[in-house]
Amino acid sequence: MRTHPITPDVTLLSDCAEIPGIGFLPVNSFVLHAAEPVVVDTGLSTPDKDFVADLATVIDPADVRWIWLTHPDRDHTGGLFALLEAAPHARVVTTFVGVGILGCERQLPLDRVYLLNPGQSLDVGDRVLTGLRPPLYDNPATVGFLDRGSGSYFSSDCFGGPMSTGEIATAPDVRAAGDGDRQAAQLMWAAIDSPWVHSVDRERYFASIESISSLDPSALLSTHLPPAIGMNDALFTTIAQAADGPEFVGPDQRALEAMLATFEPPQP
Amino acid sequence: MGQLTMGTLAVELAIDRTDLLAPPVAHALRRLAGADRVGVAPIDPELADTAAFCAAYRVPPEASANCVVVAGKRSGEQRWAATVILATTRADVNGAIRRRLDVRRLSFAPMADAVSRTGMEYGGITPIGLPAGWPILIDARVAAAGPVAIGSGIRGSKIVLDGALLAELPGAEVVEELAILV
Repeated sequence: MRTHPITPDVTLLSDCAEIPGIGFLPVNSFVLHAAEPVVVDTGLSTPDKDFVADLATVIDPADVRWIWLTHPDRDHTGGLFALLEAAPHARVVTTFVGVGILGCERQLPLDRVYLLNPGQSLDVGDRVLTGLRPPLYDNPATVGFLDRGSGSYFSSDCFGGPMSTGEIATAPDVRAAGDGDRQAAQLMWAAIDSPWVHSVDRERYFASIESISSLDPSALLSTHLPPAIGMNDALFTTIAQAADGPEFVGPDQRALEAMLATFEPPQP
Repeated sequence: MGQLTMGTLAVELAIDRTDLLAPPVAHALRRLAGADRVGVAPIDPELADTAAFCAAYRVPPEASANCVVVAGKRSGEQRWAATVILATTRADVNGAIRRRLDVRRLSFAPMADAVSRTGMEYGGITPIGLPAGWPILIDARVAAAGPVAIGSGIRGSKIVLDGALLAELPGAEVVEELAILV
């Protein structure tokens, strides 16, 4: 995991997951250095990760007051319970559905939960965070937020895209990818993560994009894309195109067997 | 933007060229009321250091400002700050700056710390977009200098603005005699 200050009050903790045949998917968490510090998502759940140790290079975990879980998928919850232990005053911001989904694996202590629905706000001491569901998402518990202090929008999975290398996937600036590669990656990810986008009412979908773009966020901070600052037009235009973009069909059994065959040792 | 010119630099409006800015700088500019008075110009990254930059782009040293990151301790707590001085001066680190920051000992921040804490490239560090809460001490000569060239967060460009605008940054304070003429 790498760390980068990306705005005066946000530090990025960037990791990535290699997806064979697809690329390197950024897996970002963020620390919002508010008066009551906020951690946004808690990284991958694979056993080689130690999110709290990585977080400790940025902030004393005991100082964390809020863990904004944009949704309870396992690439967002890796360090959740360890951080709850390390941060005794922290509460998890999620939805009723989020608590339920997490409970299928492990129960969140309810006194450590703060339920927040899209449109509701959270005061973190020196600023207010307003929950806003992003235009694209894969989990019904998804709630991103606008930091009304700095103008940054934390968009969860939305705007994501697999990058061509791990170096680019963990970069502090999405411009490292190049415009063409970034756009193609975002359209692919939209089709993978939100396959419903091809069948929704276009006007309502575009209205959901407009509801966020009209806020003119000062930064677009996705869990699955390097940070984008000063690129609102490019990113909102790309996700608008996702509705008419190519559908994604994953490799089938024949492709898997072909791939496995390449792993076999040569016959004598 | 009023016409900001500087030596042979090709100055453009900075908020239209965020590709020439480090991410924290681009973000901070969007929050700065005077952003329409801030320019940026691409330069050769090999010429980012002051003497080479001034010579290559015909910028007088009195119109070139440097941002210096300093670190000190008070009651065991590490304190960070930035100072902005003209290229014709040197920072009075253990005099005026140390007294202003109220620390027992003060030193230039090691390069690795300065880079990792600011998200900017060494040689391109600028007061715009520094971590929230850092004091920014601006030598009065900078504020009075008129148009100055200063870092952009990357080595491949310079920001051009009126030095007085730096006083409007969050945490900024203009201080007399922060630096010593050389």
